[in-house]
Parts: sequence; C-alpha cells; structure tokens
Amino acid sequence: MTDSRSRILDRIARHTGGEYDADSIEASFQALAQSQTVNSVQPEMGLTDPIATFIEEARRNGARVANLKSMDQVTQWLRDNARHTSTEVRFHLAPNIIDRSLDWSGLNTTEQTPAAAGSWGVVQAHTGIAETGTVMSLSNECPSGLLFLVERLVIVIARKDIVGYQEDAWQRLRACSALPRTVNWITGPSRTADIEQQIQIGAHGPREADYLIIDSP
Amino acid sequence: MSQVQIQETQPDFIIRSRAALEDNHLQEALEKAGSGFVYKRQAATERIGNFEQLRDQARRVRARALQHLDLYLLHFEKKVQQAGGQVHWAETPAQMRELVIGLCQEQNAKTATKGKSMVGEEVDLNEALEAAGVEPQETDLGEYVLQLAHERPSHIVAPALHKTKAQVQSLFRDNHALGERALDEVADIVNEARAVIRDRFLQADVGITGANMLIAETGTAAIVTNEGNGDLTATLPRTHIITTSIDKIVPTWEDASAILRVLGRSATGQDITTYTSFFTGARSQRDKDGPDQFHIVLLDNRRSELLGSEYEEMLHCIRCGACMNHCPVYQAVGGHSYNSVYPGPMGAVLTPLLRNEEQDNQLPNASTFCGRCESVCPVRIPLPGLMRKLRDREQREAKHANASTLAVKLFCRLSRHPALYRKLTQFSLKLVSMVRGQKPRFKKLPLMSDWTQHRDFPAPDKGSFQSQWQQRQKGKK
Amino acid sequence: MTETPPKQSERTLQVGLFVTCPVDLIRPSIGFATASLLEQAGCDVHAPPQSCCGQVAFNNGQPEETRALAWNIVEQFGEYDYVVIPSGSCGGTIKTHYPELFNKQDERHRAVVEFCEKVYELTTFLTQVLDYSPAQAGVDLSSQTVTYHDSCAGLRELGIKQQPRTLLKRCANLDVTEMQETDVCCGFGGTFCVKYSDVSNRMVGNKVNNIRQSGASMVLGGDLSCLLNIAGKLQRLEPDNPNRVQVRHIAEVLAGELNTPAIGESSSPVEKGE
Ligand code: SF4
Repeated sequence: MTDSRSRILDRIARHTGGEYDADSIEASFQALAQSQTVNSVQPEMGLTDPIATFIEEARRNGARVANLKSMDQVTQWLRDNARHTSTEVRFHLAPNIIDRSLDWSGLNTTEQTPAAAGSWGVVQAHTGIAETGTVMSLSNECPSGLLFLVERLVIVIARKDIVGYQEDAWQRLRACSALPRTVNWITGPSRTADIEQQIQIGAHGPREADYLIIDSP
Repeated sequence: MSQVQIQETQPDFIIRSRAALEDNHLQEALEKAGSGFVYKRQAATERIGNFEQLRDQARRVRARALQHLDLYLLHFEKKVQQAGGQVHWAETPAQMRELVIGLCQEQNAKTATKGKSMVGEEVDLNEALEAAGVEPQETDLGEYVLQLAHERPSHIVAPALHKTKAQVQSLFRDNHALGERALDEVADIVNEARAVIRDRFLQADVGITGANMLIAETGTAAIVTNEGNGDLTATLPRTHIITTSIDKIVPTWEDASAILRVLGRSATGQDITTYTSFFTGARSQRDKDGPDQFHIVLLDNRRSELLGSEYEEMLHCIRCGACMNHCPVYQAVGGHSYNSVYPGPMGAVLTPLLRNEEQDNQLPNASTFCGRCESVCPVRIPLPGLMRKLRDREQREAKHANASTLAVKLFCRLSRHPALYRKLTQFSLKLVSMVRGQKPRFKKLPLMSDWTQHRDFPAPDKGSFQSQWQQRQKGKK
Repeated sequence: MTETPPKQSERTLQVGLFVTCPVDLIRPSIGFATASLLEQAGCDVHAPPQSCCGQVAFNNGQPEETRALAWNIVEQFGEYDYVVIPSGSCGGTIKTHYPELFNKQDERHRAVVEFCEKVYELTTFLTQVLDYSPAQAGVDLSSQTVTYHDSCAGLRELGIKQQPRTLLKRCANLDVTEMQETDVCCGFGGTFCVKYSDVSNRMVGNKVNNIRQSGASMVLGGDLSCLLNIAGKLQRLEPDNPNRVQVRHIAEVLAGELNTPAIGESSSPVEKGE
C-alpha cells in the first residue's frame, strides 16, 4: 500500500506545501518545534501546594489516599486493610515493589495472573500529578496489565515524586533514558456510565484504588 | 457470535426521525440521559478559572497540527518504526479493512478483542473481520451491548445511549447463561459483562483499539478511557492494532495535554478520565509486558481533501461529543436518525463530507442553527456555519430546485423591491383580514399545514406595520 | 419623558427602525412599541421602506440572494446614526453575518462593516448605547410571575442575556422567574419548523413544558418568530383554558403597551379560537 501512503501525503502536501525526504524529517520537525514553543495554558485552580491538591483531586476522582511516614509501613498498612475483607487476599507485586525488600510475612504474595476476587496489586508510581490527582506508571518498571487485572490497586507514591502539572510529568518522562512501551495514567478506580448514564464504579479494571503517599522513601 | 446483521434503514432523515419520536424505548433512554452531560460539563468547566483559554489553546494546537500535517505524520511514522512498530496507510474504508484483516491473518488470529474505535465503526470493521473468520469481541460495555443487539452506536462517547437498562437486561438474558440471576441493578449488569469479557482479554490473539491522539514527537498513540478495557485490549494480546485516522495528530506531549484538558471536561465532565494511556511501539526488552507486534493503520477517507477547503475546521474535531449532548435535535431523535457513525452536529457536517450520499444532504438541514453546539465545542468549530456552507453546496449542485427553494427565491426577489413588497403584502393582509373575521388565530391554514398540524397561528393585524406607519406619519404632518 | 440624554452630542439621535418581516406582517404592535420606546428614550425614529434582512435565503443555500437583500438594507438605512431591530435573530444575521457575505475583495466590504457597527438589537441598544432608565416604571408587573425565553441567535450571536432582564426591572419593576433550560432552542429555526415539523413540534413541546413548570402567567421574548411558535403551541394544547400562559414581545412590556391582546389572543377574556 505504498501507493496509498504517497497519494495521501501528496494530497496533504498540496495544502501544507511541505516537501520532505527521509533525511530531512527529523531536522524539519525539530526546527518547527523550536519555532513554535509556546507557554502552555494550565488550568487555574489555585494550585500552590501540589501535595494538597493531589490528595484533593485524587479523592474527588474516587481514590482513597493515606499518608505513611516511610516505605516500611506499607506492608503493615496492607495487613491492616486486608484484615477487613472477607475473601483471602493475594498480593500481586510490581517488580519495583519487590525490589524494596519489605517485610511481607503473613501476606500471601503471588506472581500468578490476577484472577478476580481477592487480588490486590501493589505498585509504585513513577510520578504523581496534582492537577488531576493522577498517578503515572511506566511499563519498564511495572507491567501495565497488573494495573488493570486486580480487584484493588494500591499505588505507592513518594511525596517527592508528586508534581504540579502535566507538563512537569512530561519533563520527568523526557529525563528517562528511553520511552517505555506504555505510559499509564491512572486516576481513581475504573468506572463506566454506559448503562443509562449512571456512573458505576468498577468496570473492567480495579474496583478500588488506594494511593499511599510516603513521606521519606 | 452470530453473523452481524444491521437492519437496513430508511435513507431519509425525516422518516427516521419520525419513527424515533414514536419509539418509546428510545425516548425513555434519551430522557434518562437528559441533561446529565450538560450539567456535568458545566460543573467541570466552572471548577477551573480559565476554561475559555484552555479552549483557545486546544484550538491552536489542532490548527497547528493540520498546518504541517504531512511533516507530523512522517515524523510519527519514523518514531513508531524506531520503537518496533509499523504504520499502514489506508485511503479508503475498504483498504483499511483489508489491511487489518491481513494483519490478523498473518498472526493466524481466531479472535480479536476490541476497544472502542469510531474509525473502526466508520469502516464497518466488525462485519469484515467476521467474514474473514476472525471473531471480533467488543469489550467496551456499551459496544458489547450493541454487539449483542446487532446495532450501531448512537453516540460517539456513549455508544449505547439509546438503550434502556431493561433492554440490556433482556439482551443479557438471551445471550448469557444467567440461571436465577436477575441483574436488577446496573452493578449486576456491569459485573456480568466484566466476568464474561475477562477471559476474552486473556485469550485473544489480537487486540484492536482506536486512538484519541497521535503524538508526532515520539510516535505515541494516546487512548482515553474509563473502563480499563482499552488497556487490557492493548496490552495483553501478542499483537496490538490501532485503527485511527490521519487527523488525530498533535505535535508534542505538551500539545496532547492541551487537548486532554478540554476533552474529558467537555465529554463527560471529568477533568480527566480514569485511564489515559500512551503506547509507543512494541514491547522492548526493558518492558515488563506489552505486545510483540504493534501496528497503526491510518485512515484518510477524504480527510486530506478537506485540508485547505472551507470545511477544514471540521478536522479540528476531537470527538468529545459535547455538540450532540447539547443539541436539541439530537436530544429529540437520538443518534440513529442520522444513519451514520457520526451523529449530531459534528456528524451533520462530517457525514456529507466523508460519505457524501444523497441522503446525507438532509443532515445539515436538520438544524435550527441554535448554535448551542458551537458554544460548547472545545475547539470552537463553527458547526452551524459549516452546515450552512453545506446547504449552499447542496443548492449549487442541485439538478433542479425543489418547491421550497423556489419559494425562498421568489420571496427574495420580491423583497428586493421594498415598495412592491409593501403593496403586495398589504394586499394579502387585506385578503386575510376579510376571511379571518373576529378569530384571534387559525387552527388550519392553506400552505402552512406543517405549522398548523402542531400549533395555532395568530391572525395578523388589519394592516402591515409599514402601511400603518405611513398612515401615522401622514397624520402627524 | 426620559432621564437619559442622548449621549453623542446635542443633536437628537436619528434611529432607523428595522421591524423585521414577521413584525411587519403579523404583529405591527411590536414595531410601534419599539418606536415609542425609542422616542421615550429621546430618539427620532424613522422607518424607511423595508423588507427582509435575507436570513431565510442565507440559511437556505442562497448566498447571492442574501447579498442582494443585504445591500438593499445597507443602502436604505445607511443615513441613520443607528439602526435598531426588535429581534436578535435578524439582528444577528446583519451584525454577525453581513460582513462575511461581502469578502475583503468586494468594494462594498468596508461600507458593510461600518454599517454593521451601528446596527443594534433593541434591548442591547437601550442598555448599552443609551443606558435607558425611565424615571418611572411604565407598568408595574412586580406582582406577576413572568418568565423569559432567550432566543438562540440573540443569546449566542449577540450575547443578549442580561439586557432584557435589566430593562424589565427598570421599566416594569419585574424580576424574571427563570424557567429550566431557558437557553434551549424552541424549535422554530426558520424553514426548519415546516421541513422537520415533527422534530420541531417535540422541541416546542419541551419548551412549553418548561414555561408552564416555571409557574409563569406570561412568557416574554425578544424574537417574534420564537414567540409565534411558543404561543401557537400553548394555545393548541389548552384551547379552552382562559388562564393559559400569555405570550408577548418584550418591547410591548417595556413600552407599557399592554392593551393590545397578547399574541394570538383576542381582547375579550372569553374568546373562541376557530
Ligand atoms: S465538533 Fe466539537 S463538540 Fe462536537 S465532537 Fe467534535 S470537538 Fe466535540
């Protein structure tokens, strides 16, 4: 279908006046990007303290938020919260959590594909975005599927990783050595409004989302 | 799953809309959806101080993207390739179907899970996949319901908006082994669908999704969802195929933000949807999961011809659905009356441009030009203005003028001569006042039965304003 | 008569009154009410020979016809200081769309743009140009429940929302009781209401429901076309109810001229429609 490609591009070029060969694309793109840098308009929402706004927005979007002093307290928090559930909880840990060598005694951790009831995911976010109470996870740190297959998703986020606006998150992403296959933004639990426009929490993804903000990682 | 059969619809908006007005299920569903979207959008836009500026910014981003569309597409393609993916180009719906089927067959795919893709709907992908022996499995709840019902979406954001809960319950009863379970609550329906679809995610050979944006800078496709089905479709199978169109390009990640900041707020009144996902190429060695194969199929289908035309602004559209949520015509007759995957005001412009069938001429006419759509469109597309241009086009290309066009022309010719106009109107008013007697209004009027079928018409005064004014001026002198 | 002195100069403002076709043909009282209001506000009012602003042609794929009619208006009304129109819809056609009908290459472009700058919809003219406020309210409607329909073109092309409410307070001591969805179209839409009469009927039905639910005994608006649609529906639904909602143009209320029966009503309280 090379022909379709060139016919489509020709029709576009008739309007844009562009002429590019394979070698000039990058340079032309960069030149254009340079000449067009504009200051983004960000939403006016009285954002002075990113942590406070992050918590407020996350809650408004249906996430539960807890504050912990240090990483060590994560497993205790899980123990305390799993106690209230009727089914036995299996914990699916993201690699970046396993690396932290926390005390998992008494908790049932597993590497199996999460199957509905009783599956909790525990992952660490790369960045938190205050603007919308969103957490960002990268597929080179945490398998993307894990974020969606569990019943309850517990996202650990270091206080220092919380930024104000989306642009700040992009800067952190550009600082990574390479872009992962998947960048996931998650804001609260999964939901649908497809039946009579009634919002129903818990669609195909997690039914519950907890953010644990860690003061000193 | 049985063969998809879409009922043949009448090729006439008037007939379809009349039927829609009498369809009680549809009317019940429309009423339930009601003004919900309107209030949610309003609350979301009022929560921040500068939504109008965010709209301006989004519009600028869209205009900039189109201004150098070829460069951005080329850069996008190069980056996708560098990230281990491939870009395919389809001029027509037929080509897109062929390309996608080819990709599925290369993988010996038997099943394909699907996330919501309006471009997929535009090219009738499901029917083609089935015919080629690949079972399409819709995973978005609304789309899944429609697949069971063998129906088309009636809204670009809420595809099953036209279905009532009771209708969904009965569809599930007919298609699922429910046993004793009644599915009384919305939660029960959602859980049932979740359970049935979960296995499909894990077993599908191919996942097909749409894309909300293509970021040229890095060759990244962005997808915005709430249910999580889009991500499970994109991530779990070996192959991820994206069906989308060339106009979805934005230059940079910052530009993507500009769109995201107006998209959710305009669509569902969310400042951001639950999931916003950015896919760049195939899984690399560093990635913990993801598909081994990644393909993006780009559809043109006449979009490139709109560039530089008087309709170019329609390519700014980010498919938020706000225009139909605020459209009193859409609210009255629902999306199927438009007989197109793109209903409401945006569809009334886009359908005649992309499909351009005889019946599509009706769509830009079926508007009062109330302008509510334009007033909420996040990228400020002048939808009534574009519909007006399409009305001009229809008249220009019309082989013969119909009665109403002739009437309009006659009226205009008369109006060009105010003196003659005054005499003639005065004469007709005299005639009317002779027949009207003392009646304050009419219940029937010759030549105006379309009006008097539904409402009365007031009896005019004895003389026109102009003649009475003349009298008065004479009296003054 | 008025507390508002003409602002521009010592000279009395010469205002051209463009009444619109429906007012000319169906309800001249709106034209006279407008004229008397403008006179009360200290203007000299002129109504030169006039016909259609071209909206019907403009919205029905006839740009050539529209241009001819538009130029007619520009010539007929060019001499006045201001042109005032008791309609947001025709006002919007002229003010918003005439300039785009004559592109920059057209030698008439400048004249058209300059002309449009002195064209005003009535309530905007009274509030923004004259800041009109009578010494005494001409009528007192403070004891009545009155609602207001915001016509689409006025609202969205000309930004008419607060103006009528301000004037109703000043001239009739009235606080408007808002109906639900006051900004949603009544379904008139020019030829739309006859081409798509069933859809239009649903829309005006919704509008009338909202009007009734507001509890108002009177509904006002700034565009006769919408009001014909609304009145016709109210009367069709309740032919025998003498207390059905009355429909009037805002100019009639502002001018204090409530002796003319409301739209489609007869003067005697007990009347028989056909
Ligand atoms: S036309 Fe505007 S309002 Fe309608 S879907 Fe497109 S972007 Fe949204």
